[in-house]
Amino acid sequence: MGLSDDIKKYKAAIYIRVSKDDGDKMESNSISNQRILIRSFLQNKPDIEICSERVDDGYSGVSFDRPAVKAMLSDIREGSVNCVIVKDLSRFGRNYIETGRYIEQLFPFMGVRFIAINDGFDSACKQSQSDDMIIPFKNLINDAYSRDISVKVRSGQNIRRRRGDYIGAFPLYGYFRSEENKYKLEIDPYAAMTVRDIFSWKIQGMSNQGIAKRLNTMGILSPLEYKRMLGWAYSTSFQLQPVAKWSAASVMRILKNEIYTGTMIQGKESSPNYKVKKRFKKPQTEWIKVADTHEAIISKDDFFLVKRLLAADTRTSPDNDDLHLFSGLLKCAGCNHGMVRRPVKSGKKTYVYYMCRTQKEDKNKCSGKCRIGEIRLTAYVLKILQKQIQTSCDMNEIMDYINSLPLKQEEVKKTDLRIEKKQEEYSRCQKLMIELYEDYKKGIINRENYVAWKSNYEENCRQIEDAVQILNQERWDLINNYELQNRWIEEFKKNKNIKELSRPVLASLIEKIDVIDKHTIKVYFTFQPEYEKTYRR
Amino acid sequence: MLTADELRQLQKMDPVGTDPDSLVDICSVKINTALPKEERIADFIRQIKNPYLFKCGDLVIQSVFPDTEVTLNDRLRQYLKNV
Repeated sequence: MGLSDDIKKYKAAIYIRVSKDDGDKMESNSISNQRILIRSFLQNKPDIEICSERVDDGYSGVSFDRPAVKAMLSDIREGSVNCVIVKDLSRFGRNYIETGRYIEQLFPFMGVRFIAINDGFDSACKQSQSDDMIIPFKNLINDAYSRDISVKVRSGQNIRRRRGDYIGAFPLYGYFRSEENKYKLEIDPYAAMTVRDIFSWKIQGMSNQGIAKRLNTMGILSPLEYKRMLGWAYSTSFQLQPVAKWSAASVMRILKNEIYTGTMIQGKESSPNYKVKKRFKKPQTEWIKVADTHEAIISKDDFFLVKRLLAADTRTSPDNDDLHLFSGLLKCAGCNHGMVRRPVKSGKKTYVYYMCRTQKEDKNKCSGKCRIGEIRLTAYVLKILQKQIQTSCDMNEIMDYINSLPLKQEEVKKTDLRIEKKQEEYSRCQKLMIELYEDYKKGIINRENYVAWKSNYEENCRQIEDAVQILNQERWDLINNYELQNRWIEEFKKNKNIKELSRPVLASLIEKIDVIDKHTIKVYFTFQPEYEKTYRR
Repeated sequence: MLTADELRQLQKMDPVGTDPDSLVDICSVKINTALPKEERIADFIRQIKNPYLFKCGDLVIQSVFPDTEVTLNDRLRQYLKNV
């Protein structure tokens, strides 16, 4: 580097940075103040020519992942810039390791002159030994500012989490932020209705994929699109399609979220320190849970029932959205693995058997002889449950409960609300189309973009119309169905017992069934028998 | 009539190796639903002999119950709410 070479013209980049997150004093560090200071400093430096001015507004100095700094470094690599001027060292960076690497290694190696005006540092001037010592310390102190703020923010957030305050950027689907207290969640009646449906359908034996499909056909907006419709400034880099649809994964996220039971759970993931932005998942034992901080959408019983159902290894065939009756409930007592369902043809008839998967793969691994026919098993399990209900159910209480259940009219109301939402969505879409046309007329967007966006919106409107049609059909079916209540409930009311074995009955009353052999099974119920209570009297 | 202790002993019976002919078939048990619940349970246990191990047709069934406060009524309400 030609240190005392006056003839050499330096091609300089001015670098300016300001960030509230860093605790910058906004006035002394404002962009215009930094600019004035640097420009006046350069007035009597004829050897330096200003090539570019790079500004990072609102970027923390902790990371070097800043657009302007990246552009400047690429200019340096190309050779169009060989001098960097900043107001002080902390403008260039607050990460002492990275800052030190640039100032002490990379810049000298690449022949770049670095000037930090207020710190009195200029790499072109001869440095005394004490100056060499001071720079790393200054970098370290600049770094400490960020560390200090990070510690304060983290501890503040932790106190809030422990108190059960919701500190997420957006309330989760099903809730709004309370208007009185932004840290509290309040039920959003429309979205909560969808959350309840998702849990019910899961208990009824639908697969996550099946639930997603049903929601999409009904035209119910996915959580992301719903946020957009509410006008929230939500953005994500994960979105692949122009309109986000429900998927098995988004249904799963809802089914697994315990916040719906009224328990606040936060701190599921965090970054290791303020310098690393990547977030890591924390073990469940470290999550911060506070019970009863907000109104539940799902009862704890239902949530844990769904949790149990999700833990069971089940699959549905590609063209079927519902689970088979015993999916995930049957275990081979010999190897404790799930049993598989196999239709077996015999003459013109097909018989369905459940058999041990391990034994089918390798006879040496499991010697259980637990093949059992579906019809026989279904009939016997039904019989046992019917006797249990006859013996230990308090029928008057159940009949009162049934009478308190919402009738079909409630379902009609639900559909009405959904249609209303769709209509809102439709007018929003129409409004966007008008705005788009105005933008096109004013020349803000070109014809190509206008046509592309317009067809997007038109497609959206068409989908909304389809969904409204399906919802109207559903409404019509509900009204014209002379039974006021669900078939299963009607049947229960009439027989004072269950009449057939269905997936929700099994899911609610039986945890699992171990098949010991084709003549012996072990049934695990989900409730107490109340036998001993009778005997203690 | 069984004592609570004897009832607990019955839970421990192993279905493997038990002679099916020594077990009562649950289909033969008649339950009078007009009786109050506790009497119904007592009557059921009297007839079935072992409420934890019985048969249903040609199938031997062992019943296992969890240690919980949740009753059958709670579960039925849950079922009826979700259908």
